Amino acid sequence: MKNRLKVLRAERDWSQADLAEKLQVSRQTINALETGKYDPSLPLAFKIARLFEQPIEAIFLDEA
Amino acid sequence: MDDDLKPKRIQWTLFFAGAAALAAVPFWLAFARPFGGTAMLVAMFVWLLVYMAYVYVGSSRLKAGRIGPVMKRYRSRLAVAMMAYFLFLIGSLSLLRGGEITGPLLWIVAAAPAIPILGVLVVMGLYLKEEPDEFERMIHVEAMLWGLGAVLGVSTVWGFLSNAGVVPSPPLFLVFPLFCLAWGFSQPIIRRRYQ
Repeated sequence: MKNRLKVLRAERDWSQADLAEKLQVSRQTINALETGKYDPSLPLAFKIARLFEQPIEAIFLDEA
Repeated sequence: MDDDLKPKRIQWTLFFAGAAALAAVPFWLAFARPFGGTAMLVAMFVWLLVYMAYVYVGSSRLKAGRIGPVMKRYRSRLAVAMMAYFLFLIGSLSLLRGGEITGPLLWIVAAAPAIPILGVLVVMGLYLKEEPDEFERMIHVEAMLWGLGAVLGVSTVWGFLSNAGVVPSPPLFLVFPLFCLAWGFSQPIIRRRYQ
């Protein structure tokens, strides 16, 4: 699933390691999320939405 | 910025080649039997210490601080269980060699080495339960399925071959190490797909 994580992260000037620490996951998890190869669970998606102060659908793009 | 995520391919390849070579040693010991009796047990125990140290130190260095607290806890629990396994195994084998044990006690002594191995299963389950990173958890579950596939595949083929008398009957105690090997070695392949 496509998402705007990389853009949002760059806007805040965070490294993948910074975002990983804020979300309490590994850097590899951040990488897998950003490339769209791994879709997060609802709890993790809400956690990301809270961190970036945006609704989930503004971060993860519904292509249906 | 993300350079540190690029896999250190050569180092990892060398690490896995070394691990594969070391992992072959107990299979060679079990089939070629270069030692007998106590020397065999000592050789196996030395191998276990070398292998655990190799995997522990090697992966810690390659991952350079990327091992979380839950994984650390899993590794210490696993080390304790494996030590217990070898102590139980040595105790059980030396008691059985005497040949004086019979009845229900024989059952207990013979099955004793399996207890720490069951403990390893519990340790694995606890890791999956405690791991807070859902992606890491998924990688491990997927790798365990590869392990299961390897065990089912190898034992099915081996079973039919031994039915025909082409090979000896399968050594069932090696099923668990095979599962662990396939679990470990499938991880880099699985992780690559998410990069």
